[in-house]
Amino acid sequence: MEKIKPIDMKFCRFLKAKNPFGTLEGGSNDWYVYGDANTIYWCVKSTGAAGPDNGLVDPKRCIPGRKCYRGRD
Amino acid sequence: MDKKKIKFPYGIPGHNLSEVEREIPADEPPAWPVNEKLKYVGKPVKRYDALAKVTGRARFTADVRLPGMLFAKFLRSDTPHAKITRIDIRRAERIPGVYAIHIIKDIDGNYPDVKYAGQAIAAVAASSLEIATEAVKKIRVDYDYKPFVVDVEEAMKPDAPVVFEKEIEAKEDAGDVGVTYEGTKASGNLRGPTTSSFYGGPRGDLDKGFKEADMILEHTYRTQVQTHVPLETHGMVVDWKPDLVTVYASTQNTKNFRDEIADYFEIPRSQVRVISEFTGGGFGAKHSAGIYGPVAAILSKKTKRPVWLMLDRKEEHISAGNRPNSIHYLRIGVKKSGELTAIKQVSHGTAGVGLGAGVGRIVQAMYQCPNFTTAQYDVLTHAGPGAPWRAPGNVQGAFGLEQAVDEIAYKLRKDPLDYRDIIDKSEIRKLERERGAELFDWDKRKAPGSDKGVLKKGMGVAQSTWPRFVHLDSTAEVRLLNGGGIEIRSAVQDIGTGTKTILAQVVAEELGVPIDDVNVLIGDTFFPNGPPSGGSVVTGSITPAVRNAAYKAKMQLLEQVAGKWKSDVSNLRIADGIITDSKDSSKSMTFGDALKGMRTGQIIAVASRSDDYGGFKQEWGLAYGDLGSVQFAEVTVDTETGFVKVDRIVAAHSCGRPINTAQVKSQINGGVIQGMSYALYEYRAMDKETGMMMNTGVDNYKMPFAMEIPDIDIVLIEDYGGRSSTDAYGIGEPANIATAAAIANAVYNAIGVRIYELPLTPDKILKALKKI
Repeated sequence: MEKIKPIDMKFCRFLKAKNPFGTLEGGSNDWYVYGDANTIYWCVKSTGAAGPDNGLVDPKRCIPGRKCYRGRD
Repeated sequence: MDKKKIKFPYGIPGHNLSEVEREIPADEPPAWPVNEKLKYVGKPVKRYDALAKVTGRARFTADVRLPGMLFAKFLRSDTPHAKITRIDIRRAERIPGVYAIHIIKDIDGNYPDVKYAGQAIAAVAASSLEIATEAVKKIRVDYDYKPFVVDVEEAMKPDAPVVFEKEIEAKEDAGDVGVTYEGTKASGNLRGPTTSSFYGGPRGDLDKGFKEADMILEHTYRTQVQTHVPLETHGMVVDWKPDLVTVYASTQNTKNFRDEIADYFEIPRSQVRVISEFTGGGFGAKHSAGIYGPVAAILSKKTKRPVWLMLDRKEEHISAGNRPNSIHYLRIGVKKSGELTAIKQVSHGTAGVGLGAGVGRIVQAMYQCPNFTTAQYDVLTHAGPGAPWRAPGNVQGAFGLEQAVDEIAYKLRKDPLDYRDIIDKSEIRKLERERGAELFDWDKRKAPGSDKGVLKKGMGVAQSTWPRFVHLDSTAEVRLLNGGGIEIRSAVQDIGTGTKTILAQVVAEELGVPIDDVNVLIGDTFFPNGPPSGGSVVTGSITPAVRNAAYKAKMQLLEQVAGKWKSDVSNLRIADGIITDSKDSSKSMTFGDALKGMRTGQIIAVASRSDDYGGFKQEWGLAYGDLGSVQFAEVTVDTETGFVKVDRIVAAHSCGRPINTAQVKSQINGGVIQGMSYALYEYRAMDKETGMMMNTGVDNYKMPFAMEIPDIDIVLIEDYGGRSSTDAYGIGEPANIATAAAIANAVYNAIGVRIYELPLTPDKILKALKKI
């Protein structure tokens, strides 16, 4: 089986993810967002699947450039 | 780190039990023998909190009452898609007893777009729940109504109303309509496909595989949206103080709950304490603080009073999460021998306004097939958000796969169990099939539809796989107190599965003391981090940690005793609360006396989950092996009314070393009942005209009552792997995956017609029989 490699973290610090096996928790456990079709995403700030800007919460979109994006530093 | 080599039991007692040598950390305890040689572990020990629960002494979150506490209630949208133009709270504010009203805003300070009926808009805190509820009714909201779509197939059409319509404005802007930074087009309600997963995703050559096939089976399987119905709804009590925010939460994840509250307010995580002494059930949707957490905290901060905010049952149905539906297409190539040559999987599902509606990994992982592709799409709709639910996606996936495998077996004129022996290489499931079939009397199964009369009996089988996962951020502390007392401390929560009990069993076993001497203090983030209650990870993650901590504490205590006796600590033994010296029978002391003689007031030992002995399959905690299960169903179908009665389930399971056999069986019972309810009853009924969920009460959201619950017989197989100091794994997910598929296969066996859609309600049965 192919080893899963750590993901280059550019996600917003407020992106949360829960896949069948665990939860993305504040930057730990990057692998929880690794392409799984059953991963549920939400934003800590908007507390839902729509972000603070009314856009979809999605790891492909919760990245630098988005108005509500916040880095990890 | 110093290491030592020791031998562990390996394999299945009565089948292939042997030993395996593992190199383990030097400070971890010796191997336990198999369960039959242990005193507490592997036994049906009564629940640690049984008396508290049956007497009502147990205090759940909804029961928490604090001095000066206020009660909060949400105002929710009564339309599925709209722009809010005005909110008038003046009449609500004037009601005596109303302390605060919070209106939710977006990043620009505007009202957020309404995207589903039931979305929270505002919340009121008042001196009573009745006043808060009354005040919510007095808030006036003006909407600019917009078209909406709640049906998944309607939502896929090009001209369907769009759920997320935020325009992309700049190259790296992440809008939902336009051209993305990747150059792909974002539009409509379709997202995906996801074509890979943790387990490799596509493999082989699909075209070649189908060319090699002698037979191709092709069907689309449909499952419904199921909404979460834990006995205790979501919610919490927040007591905001400037130096510490205390949260009493109904949660599956105290740590994440704490982190979300702290992160929302951007305060240190150490400034938030989450307490979950008792949680009244959770099936995956209680990992987050949700919107209720921050809103309750805002109201508490604003009013300087504790705030109670629990959802009611209707809110639970419409907003607290659901198991997404699925439209699951499978095309399977098969040789005459039964060998699978190719599987093509395509799925569409809706998690409402969010993502995550896939069909899991079961199709790509359970059977040998060299050529495989998957494409799993999310379809956004104006409906309440999906949430993880007990083996997310895999229950939907199993319904399709296990019906397909059953159908292939019949077409090949093979017994469905014999056929699985050909395509399933799992040793544990093979044994589960054998032992389960014997208990079930599988040989009494008749040909499909051959029963005479109105009531037709049928038998079916289905199986599942679930990975063994370990959550490494799992820590336990064991304290031995001078003067008596043994305490376990960890933030891990007990959601009703019996975590407190298994921790007490493990520590009593390790210390050699009566189990009633062990106090379990968990569900508090002031204690060391525990694992989340999700993914069937708790038992496999926290029991090795607590055993290792107990072992360390014990060795410190025995060192002191050995010093007094001038003995070698390696000669000391503890059994039934008595410490003895194996080399000198004159030396004996009770464990309690040893505690009284400690040099200090307490001995504290802390241990975290170490890596699996022999390593992980993936370094972050994916263990080797799977948690297989095979479930058998016997049904009676009334061919005049269309009602299905599940008469009996035999559930054959393994979870490594079972720690508490009664609790494992209880978990399996729960999984089976929930699976049966999914198969026959539960579904979210949406009104396409209004976008509202129509069955939001316990009266019209059908779930089984006692007389509808089948006899459940359980085959529990001990399966030793020498992977940790307890060698235990979980059971929550596997208990639920195969049930609906087994029932569907039994219905086919009863009536001779296969039904490809859940739930198996009377109308579908009668349609299948061409009676309506």
